[in-house]
Amino acid sequence: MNAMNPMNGPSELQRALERKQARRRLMAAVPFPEKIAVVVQLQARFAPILRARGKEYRVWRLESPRQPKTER
Amino acid sequence: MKKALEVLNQLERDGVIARYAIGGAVAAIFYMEPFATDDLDVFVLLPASSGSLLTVGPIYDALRARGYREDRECMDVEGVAIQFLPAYNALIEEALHEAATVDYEGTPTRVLRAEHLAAIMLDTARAKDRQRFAAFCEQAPLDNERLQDILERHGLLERWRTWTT
Repeated sequence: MNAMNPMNGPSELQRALERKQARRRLMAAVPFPEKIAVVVQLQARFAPILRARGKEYRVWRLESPRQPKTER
Repeated sequence: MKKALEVLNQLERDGVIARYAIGGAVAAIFYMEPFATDDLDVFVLLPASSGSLLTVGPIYDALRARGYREDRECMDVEGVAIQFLPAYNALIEEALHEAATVDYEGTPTRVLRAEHLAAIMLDTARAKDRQRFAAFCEQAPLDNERLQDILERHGLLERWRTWTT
């Protein structure tokens, strides 16, 4: 219940923001081809949703589909 | 992606384009965390022989001759949707000339420098540019002195002040 305590609110929020910031820094530092692999994964996830809404959405074809090492 | 970049390099060697560099979302992704985008923006300097007409027609013709097809406003090159954008102002011409050469799985390519990308976002100033600009400035390794110089020379300092305060 600590997380619900308003007294803990700002520090919990602060820690969550710091974790997000750390993850962004980590992702910004990964090699370019791995980032492109993440982009293609995102395209594959969004495509069915967007197509169901009637929008055309492209999914790129990578020569050697690779799993981004940073994917969680 | 690697094959698409090889095709771009070949177009440059063949003189179809004088110089190219990756811009837009994919260039931003080079410097920051990845996000979804469905096309690869490629800025191009056209050969001097093309005169003053800013048209990507000859690039499309050359790609069609190699068997590639149009996909809406893009060309599908080796499974990647590429949008070719001719350098339409002095800022983009400068960005193209100063673009960084980087390696993509053994294939050389060029990406616009972070400071030029930030300046282009300020110049273009669409809603998505403004949204991306904030995250980009937070994550990209910007050389502030270099950025200020570019913004001053291209008349973008006032907008930069508005967007950052």
